[in-house]
Amino acid sequence: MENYSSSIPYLSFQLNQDLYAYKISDVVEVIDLQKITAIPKTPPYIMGVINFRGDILPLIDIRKECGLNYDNDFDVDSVIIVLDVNKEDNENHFLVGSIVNAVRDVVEVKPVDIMPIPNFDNRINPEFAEGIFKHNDNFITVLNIPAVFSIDKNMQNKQNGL
Amino acid sequence: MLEQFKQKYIEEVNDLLNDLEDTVLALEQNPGSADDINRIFRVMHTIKGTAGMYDFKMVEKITHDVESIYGKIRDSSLSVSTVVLNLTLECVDLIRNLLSTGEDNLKEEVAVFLAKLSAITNSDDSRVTGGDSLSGGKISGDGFVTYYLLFEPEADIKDRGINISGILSDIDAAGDGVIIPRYRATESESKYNTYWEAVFSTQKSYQDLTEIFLFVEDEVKITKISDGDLFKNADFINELTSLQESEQNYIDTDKLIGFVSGGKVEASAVAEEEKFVKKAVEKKDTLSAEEKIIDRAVAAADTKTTSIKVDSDKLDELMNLVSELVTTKAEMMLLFEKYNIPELGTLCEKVDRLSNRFKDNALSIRLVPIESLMLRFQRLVRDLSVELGKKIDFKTDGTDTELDKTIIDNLSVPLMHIIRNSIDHGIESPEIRVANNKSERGLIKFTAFYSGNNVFIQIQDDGAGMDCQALRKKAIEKGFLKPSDNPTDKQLMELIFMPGFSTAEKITGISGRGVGMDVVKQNIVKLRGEIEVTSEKGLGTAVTIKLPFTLSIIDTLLVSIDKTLLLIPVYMIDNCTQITRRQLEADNGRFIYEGEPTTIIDLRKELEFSGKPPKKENVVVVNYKDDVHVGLIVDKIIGEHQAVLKSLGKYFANQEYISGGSILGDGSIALVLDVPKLIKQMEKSDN
Repeated sequence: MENYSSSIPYLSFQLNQDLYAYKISDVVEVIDLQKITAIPKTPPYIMGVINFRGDILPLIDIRKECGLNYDNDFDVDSVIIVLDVNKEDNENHFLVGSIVNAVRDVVEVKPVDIMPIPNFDNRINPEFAEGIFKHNDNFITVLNIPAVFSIDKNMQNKQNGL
Repeated sequence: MLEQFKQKYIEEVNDLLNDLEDTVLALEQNPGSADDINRIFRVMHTIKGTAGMYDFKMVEKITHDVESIYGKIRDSSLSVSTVVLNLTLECVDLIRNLLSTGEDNLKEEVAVFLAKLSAITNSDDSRVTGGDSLSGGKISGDGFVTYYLLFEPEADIKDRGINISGILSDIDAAGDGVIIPRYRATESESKYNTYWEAVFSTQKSYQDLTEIFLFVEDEVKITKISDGDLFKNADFINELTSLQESEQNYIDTDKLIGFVSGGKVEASAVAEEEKFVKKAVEKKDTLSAEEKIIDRAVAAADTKTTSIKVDSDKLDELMNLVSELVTTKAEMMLLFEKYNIPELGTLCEKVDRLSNRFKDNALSIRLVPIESLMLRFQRLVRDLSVELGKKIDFKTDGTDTELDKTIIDNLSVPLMHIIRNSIDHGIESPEIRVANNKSERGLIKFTAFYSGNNVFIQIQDDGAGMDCQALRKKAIEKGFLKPSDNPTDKQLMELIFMPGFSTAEKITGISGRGVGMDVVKQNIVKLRGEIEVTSEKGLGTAVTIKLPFTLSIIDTLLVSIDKTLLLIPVYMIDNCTQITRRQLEADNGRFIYEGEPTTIIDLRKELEFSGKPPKKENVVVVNYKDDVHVGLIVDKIIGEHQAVLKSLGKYFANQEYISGGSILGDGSIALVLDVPKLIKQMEKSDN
C-alpha cells in the first residue's frame, strides 16, 4: 500500500470543459498533435496510429472509449499524452497515446484526499476512475489507466461489432 | 561476478554437449572413427577442466571417468560398443541436469551412473597395461601444432599498401603464443627497421597459415616446431624465454625443435594428451598417412572457432538500429529530392548502398541454419525408435538452409511433433514392414530448401500412410463430418489439424493425445507460414511447411487510397494495370487478366474509406495461391518501399486486414495489407 501521508504527483488535463488526471509515473511524455494515420475498420475511439520516435503507437480518444461527454473536436492546440500502460508488467505493458484538449498542471495529491466516485455518476462510469479530488475549486477525476486502456475490453468491443 | 562467469560456463558446456551428442551419434554410425573418439575425449576434457572452478564436483568426476574410458578407446584397449555409447548419451543428459538443477538433488543418479561406468572400466582393466600401441587410423594429440614465425618486412612494405598492424593482428589471430618485436641493430637498406618473431600453437595447418600471409609471402617465414601444443609445457616456455632473452638476433629454432626431440617433452608429459603428442613425435612416419584425417579434424575445429556467441537481445537491438538507419536514409533521400544538391545526391547513393549492405548483413546475422535443430531430431529418432522397437533411419537434406532465428526457435516444437508422429504412427514395426514387402528399416527424410522468398521444409516417412476411409470414419464419429458429407481426400487430411482430432488407436505416451497437429498448425501460422499434409495409404506421409525467410524487412509496393498509405508485399504482386470506374461498373466488378475473368476487390469499399475515387484507378494483381489471381483496386501506386515491419501493438492484434505498419522517410506511417487474410475473409463472406 502507498504511504498515506506522502503525496503522489498527478498530471491534470482538460477534456472538453472537464478536468481529469493521470498518475504521472505512468506518463512517458507529452507531445504535440501530429499526423494521425487512421486504421480502417476500427472502433471510433481508436483515432489511428502515430509515429512516436520510430515506434507505432495507437492513439485513443478516451472520451469515446469511456463514454464521456464531448461537444468539441480536437484542434491544433490539442496534445497527446503518451502513457505506459501496465508499466510494472514486463510482459504485458505497452505504450499508448491519449489525445486531450490541453495539459494543465502537475498536482501533488495525498491518497487520502482522493474520494471515490459516486456510484451513479453521470459523467463517468466508475470502473474507469480511481477517484476524484478537489483542487483550486475544481473537481479532477483520476483515471484508472489499466481499466481505460484494457485490451480485453477492446477485443470484446470488436466482437460486439463496435 | 562469479555467478556471471558460471552462467557463461553453463552455456558453453551446453554447446559442447550438443556437439558431443552429435559426435556420439556419428560414432554410432561409424564406430571406428578416430576423429569422433578424439572429439569426445576432448569435449570431456574441456568440460572437466573448468567444472571444478565453478564447484561442479560431480560434473568433474563424471567427465573424468568418461574421459578415461575414451582414453582407453583411443589406446584401443577398449572398443566402442552400444553400452559405451548409451552411457555417453546418459552422461550428456546427466551433466545437463546437474548444471540446471544443481548437484545436490542428483546424488543418487550420479552414483548409479558412476557405478555403471566403473563396471565397463573394470571389465577391461586387464588390457589397459598393454594398451600402449597406437593403432592405425588414430590421430595424434588434439590437432595442435606449434610453429615459429618470422616476419621481416621489406623496407618498401608501406608503399605496397600493406598495413603492418594488420599483419600483426593476423599473426596474433593465427594461434596462441607470443609475438616478440625486434629492432635491427644495424640499419639495412632493403629491410624494415623492425621485425617480429612469434611462437604459437594452433590447430591451423601449415597451408592455412601460408594462405593467411599470402601477400607477404616472401617476408613471412613459418617453421614447424612440433606437433601438439607445447605451451602446455612449462619447460618449453622457460626454454623459449631464455632463447628470447639471449643476445642473438633471432630465436634459435633448431634449439626449439631440438628441445622436443631431445626428449625433454617426454620427461615432463603429465596429462594424457601430452602422451599422445609424444607418441605422435615418435611415430612421425605414420603421420603423413593420417594427414587427411588431421586436416578434416582441423577443418571441423576451424568452423567452430570462427563463430562467436552473441546475446540475441543484442541482435534485436542491431535490427532496430538498422530499421532506424533505413528510415533515416529514406529521410535523407527526400531532402535530396527537395533541394536537389548534386553533392548530397552522391552521398545519398553511398549511404543507400551502405545501408543496404548493412541491412543484408544484419539480417544474415540473424539467420541460423536449420541444422541447429537436427541434433535434437536425430536424438529423438534414435531414442524413440529404440523405445518402440522400430528400426528407423533419419536422413536429412538441405540442413544448411538458413532461417531467421525467431523462426528457428519457434519451429523446434512443431517439427518435433511431426517427427514424433512419423515415428509413432507412420513407421510400422519391423515385422509388419517385412510382411508388407518393405525393407525392415523405416525411413524419415527431412528436407529443407529455398524457393523464392520462402523456405520449404518437408518431413517424409515411408510408413503406413493415412487411411482416408479411417479418417472419414473417425471424423463422423467425432462429429467433425456429417455422414452425408462427401469430402475430398485432401479435405479429409486437413482434418488432422483440427483441435481434438486424433486417429491413434491407442493413446501412447508419445503422441495421440489429440493435441498436437492443431497446435503445430497454430505455431506455423503464427510464423506466417503454411502447412500441408499429403499421404498415401501404405506408402507414407509427407508434411510440407512453407515459411517466410525473415519476419522483419520485406520489399513492398507503396500505394494509397484516399489519404491512407498501404503496403503490399512485392513477392505477391503479379502485375499492375489501370482501370476506370465506369469500365469496372460495366463489367460488373470483374476484369480480364491473362485471358481469364478475375475477381476484383475494391479496397476503398472493403476497408470503408471515405472520399471519392479518382477517374483512373489502379489494379494491383496479386497471386493469391496456385495461380489464383485477385485484383486489388487502389487510388494511386506510389512506388517501391523497403518496409521495416513494425507491429501495430496489442490494440490491433485482431485487426483483420492490416498485418503491421512501417514508417516512411517523412515520418508518416504506411499500413501493411494482409492480402491472404483479406481474400480469405472475402471468400468467407461470399459463402
